[in-house]
Amino acid sequence: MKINTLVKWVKTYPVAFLFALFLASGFIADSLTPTKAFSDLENRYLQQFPRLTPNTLLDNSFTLKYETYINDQFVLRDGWITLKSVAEAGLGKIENNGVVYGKDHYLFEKYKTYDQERFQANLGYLEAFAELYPEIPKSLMIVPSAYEMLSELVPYGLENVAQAPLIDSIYQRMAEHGFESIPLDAALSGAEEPQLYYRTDHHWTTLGAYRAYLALCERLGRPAVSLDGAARHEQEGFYGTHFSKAKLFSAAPDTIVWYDLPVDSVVIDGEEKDGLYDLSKLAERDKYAMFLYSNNGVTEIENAAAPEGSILVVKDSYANSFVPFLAQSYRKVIVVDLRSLGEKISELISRERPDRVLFLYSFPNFVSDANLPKLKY
Amino acid sequence: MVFSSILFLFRFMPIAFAVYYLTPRKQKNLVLLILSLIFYSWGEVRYFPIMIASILVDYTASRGIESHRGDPKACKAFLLMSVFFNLGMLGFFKYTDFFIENINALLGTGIPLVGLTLPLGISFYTFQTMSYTIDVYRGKVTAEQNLIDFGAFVVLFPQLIAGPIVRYTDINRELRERKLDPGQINDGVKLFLFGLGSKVLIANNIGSLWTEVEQMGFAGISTPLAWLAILAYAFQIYFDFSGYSLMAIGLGKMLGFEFPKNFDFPYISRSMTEFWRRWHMTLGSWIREYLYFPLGGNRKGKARNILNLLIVWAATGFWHGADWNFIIWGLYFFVLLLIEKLFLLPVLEKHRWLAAAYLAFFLSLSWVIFAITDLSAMGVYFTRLFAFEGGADWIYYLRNYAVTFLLAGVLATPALKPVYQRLDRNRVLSVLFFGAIAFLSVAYLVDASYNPFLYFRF
Repeated sequence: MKINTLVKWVKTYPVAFLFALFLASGFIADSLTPTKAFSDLENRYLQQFPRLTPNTLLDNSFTLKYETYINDQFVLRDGWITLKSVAEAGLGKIENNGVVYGKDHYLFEKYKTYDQERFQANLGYLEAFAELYPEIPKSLMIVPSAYEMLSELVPYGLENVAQAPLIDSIYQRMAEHGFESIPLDAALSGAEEPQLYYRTDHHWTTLGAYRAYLALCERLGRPAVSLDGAARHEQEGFYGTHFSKAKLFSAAPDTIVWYDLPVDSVVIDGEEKDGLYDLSKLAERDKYAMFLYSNNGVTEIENAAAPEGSILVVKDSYANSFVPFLAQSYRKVIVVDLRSLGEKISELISRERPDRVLFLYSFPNFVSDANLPKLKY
Repeated sequence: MVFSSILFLFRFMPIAFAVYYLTPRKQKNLVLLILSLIFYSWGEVRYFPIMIASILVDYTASRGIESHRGDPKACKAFLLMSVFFNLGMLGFFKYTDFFIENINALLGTGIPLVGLTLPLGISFYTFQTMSYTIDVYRGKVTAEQNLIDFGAFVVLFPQLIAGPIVRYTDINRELRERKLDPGQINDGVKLFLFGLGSKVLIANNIGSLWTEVEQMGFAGISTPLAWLAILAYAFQIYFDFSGYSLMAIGLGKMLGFEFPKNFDFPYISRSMTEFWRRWHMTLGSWIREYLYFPLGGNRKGKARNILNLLIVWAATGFWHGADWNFIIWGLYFFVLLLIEKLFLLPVLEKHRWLAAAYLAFFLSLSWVIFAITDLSAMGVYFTRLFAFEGGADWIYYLRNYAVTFLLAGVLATPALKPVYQRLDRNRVLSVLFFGAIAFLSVAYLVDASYNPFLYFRF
């Protein structure tokens, strides 16, 4: 073929040639891009090149994983996902990837259904726990999602699961099994200012956690620490989990706030840590992970200056920004995250003999967590 | 493997087309056969022998017919071999569990289900190969001598998964002798991108409304949302299926084949009769040619004609899926088409707006029947549609999907065709337009955990 004909073709049929170029350059660039192990944005491990053996080929696991590998590792992946988010906004969409755009730059989760069976089962595990440890006083705190408390900022007609009546029903049922409930309606209600939930993340803010802490202290008659005396720090530019999902280009970043609160020692899974906060996380995307070094199996905090008593907190990540306050009201706080607990909880309890157990979960995590069966062992 | 995937676009396509274009003309069919077999086997390697068997059986049957022309009994035997094999395969893989379920329900037995995965495209290629052998039997075409050419026809990857149903007579000349023409390839790329955009940018997008309502459960939705959701489904299935056909036709052109058209703006029809001439056209003509006419069509009196139509529509419904709702769906059209035939057609011809309202209403109901396999859930859905249930849930969805609905509604009609034609004449605009489709589609594909392909059930 002569060069002249080729040039003529390219000029006459530019769409075909540019498309070919697009596919070829995508293929080549993709092949040359080094394989990534972890996606910071999605907070998960990415598929690596799968093993090819006669077995993996025959049971289709190779082809399946290979396709996931191609998708996970595709060149400029984050850029494409941002482009999609922009296009969705161009279509006038008020949500992307399960995250809804509320007023005043608030992002909310779309939460239309929950697993009723898992919900009932998890209530059953709490009851079983109460039967196993009748002598330990038990408290229960279920944190409602932001959309529940900031309903005036949620787009009209988004009928998410109404959490308040469900949380009430949990409290009522658990009251029969000796749980003291800590309702948070008043503590977390209403106002945007001061900010009690992050705009771009599903967690409560440090102030939201503090308010819940005050509610707990009041209910249990423990002295609560005042924030007036504590040094306050903040870090701007926090884009949380909701942002990671929606990648809304116009999202307004949050500010992470933390206080210098005195403790004597923090031991996480047997390792002594320097304080309650992992300040190195402030440089990363998931800045909320700074609180209590994120989610770990067993965290033990001692504070001789605090009033006497020990408390075991069985929790999800909401407790991470809550526990620093709690450590000012209990001499010893033991924090357990069932998702990464490496030992039997019965052994832990007989060793530590806590004066009280607090279950602290956000509603969505409580109804979906598959690790509550561990309470029986 | 589906066309609308990163894997297909950035691995299979560049490699396959580079190899195909660089191969000398004489070996092109062999290369095409190998590439198509890889494409076919990708999702289920163990079904590779099934495809080989399909090719060999119909090859042998048609050759047998050809070499026993003088012996009608032998010809018939070879024909039956093909028909039994093809229908047997289809029946076994697609319908076994349906029959077991019904036998269990009827007799209270507990026969375990087989739970087979459907071989890719089996609903389509069994029809294609069967019609080929029938055509040879009827003397409409001579049997293909070259096994490689024939194999390439059967497993040809563009049309393997979801049609159009390409008959041997559509492409037999191109199989033997085709020229690669840059103009044809260019048209093919454009059609492919149109199809990709239809599927990824419109069908998937609007389909998420339906999927969400499905996940929420029908019992809690308001009446306006029920209508909105079924409208979304109507657009989803159209852009999904027609988009897939366009991609197939486009890929065909890029390889040097001309596949028949499969959709011709069905939603602008003025009657169900017209709708079925514009929707999945290759299936309609296949059924007419190989089922309706052999049954006698309308040549055996009125009563027999009605019976024939009944059989045809029950079969059409059942082909779409192995569940009762699909049979009901087929029979629903049988009733409507019969009513149109008896008296309604002239009325609809005269009143344009009445026809539009009639079509919108009854097509929506047909999609309810099509979309919901569980008959009791279908009942709930109909109650939602007709026993008015208020609520604000639809406001959110309408707000969220308004532009998408508008876009889908306009693109389901030929309204923008003149605009496109003018745009296409300008090289820069054309490149920008198709470039935008390509980039946005890739963005949606990369983003999408949501990319279910509706017609995989077939």
